[in-house]
Amino acid sequence: MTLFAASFIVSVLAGTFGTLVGLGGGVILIPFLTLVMDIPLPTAVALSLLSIVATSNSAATRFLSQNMVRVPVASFLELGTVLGAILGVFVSGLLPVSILFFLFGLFLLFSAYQMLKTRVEMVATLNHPLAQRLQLSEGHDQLEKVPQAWAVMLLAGVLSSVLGIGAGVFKVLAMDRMLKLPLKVSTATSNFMIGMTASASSLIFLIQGKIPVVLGVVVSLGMFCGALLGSRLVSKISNQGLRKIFTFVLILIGLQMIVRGVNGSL
Amino acid sequence: MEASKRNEMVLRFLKISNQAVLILFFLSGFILLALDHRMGEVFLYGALLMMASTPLVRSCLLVWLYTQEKRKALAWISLTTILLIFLSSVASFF
Repeated sequence: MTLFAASFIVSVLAGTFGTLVGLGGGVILIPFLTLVMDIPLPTAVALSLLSIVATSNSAATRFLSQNMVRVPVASFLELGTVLGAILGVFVSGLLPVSILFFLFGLFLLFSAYQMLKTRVEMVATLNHPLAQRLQLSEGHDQLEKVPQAWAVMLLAGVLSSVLGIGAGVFKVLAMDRMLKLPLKVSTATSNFMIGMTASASSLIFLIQGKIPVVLGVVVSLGMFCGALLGSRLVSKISNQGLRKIFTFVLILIGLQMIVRGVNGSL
Repeated sequence: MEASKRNEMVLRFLKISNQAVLILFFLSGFILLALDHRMGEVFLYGALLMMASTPLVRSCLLVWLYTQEKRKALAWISLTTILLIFLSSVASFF
């Protein structure tokens, strides 16, 4: 009972934090489940995927009602991630994992440095022809570098398959740095997107019986409540404040990837 | 159909789905579990299945809404994504 209560509390925290930065929350939940709850890694990953769906379902309601989600952008970028993930399955044996961890860790640190340098929110000044053709932009939005953002999503999909990492951080980066959407809109749209990819995998794990039902419900409920809290916090934090939190997360994940790359090559 | 109407419909679907998962299944599942009824776990499993399938159903709804908006390219993109996820999921069973 105590462990269920602890799982619920940690899930609330993970859901709040994951919704704030648009990453889902697996970065907190998986270490807790494996190190504290002593749950095998494959089960922890399956539980994390299920909880990402809970976060996405919960956060999307608030973000949609506040008109913060760019649904056509989400639909367009999602195809890149899914294609990349499938491509990643085929090339996973061909790529040097430790070097990739190291290189993309450096890339995230560089992105964090660029984020720190950004004092003023970037605003797109022209709408890319592809955005016009696909009718991606709505209202006053302008979207720049649409093909480049899609290519980053493709790469993110490949990396999530090859390295086994969540692609949320790359989703937010692509929308913020390339499409030049406001950071709040980027994290809200990322929250909307992550549910889609996690949905299929978690359904498979559920059907295969790899998710303990009661713990799955406890974690999902926790993430659901956390996402409600997180989505309320997003509307109270300024774009610059959110940028600082996201930069901190980029540095943490970047360092973690570099360490895994160095350890793997030893 | 306008974009705001589309978002409104997606939002309504998500709210109904979330409420069904939370109230109908999670709550009744826990009550049945507390009463030591074997259907409790079945209800909770059903809730998880419903919750996990919500984003996929949401995407199918979006395909329909895009066709109503006459945004054919986006409808095809969403449909391709759903099919790719479905096919890769089926392939993972073998």
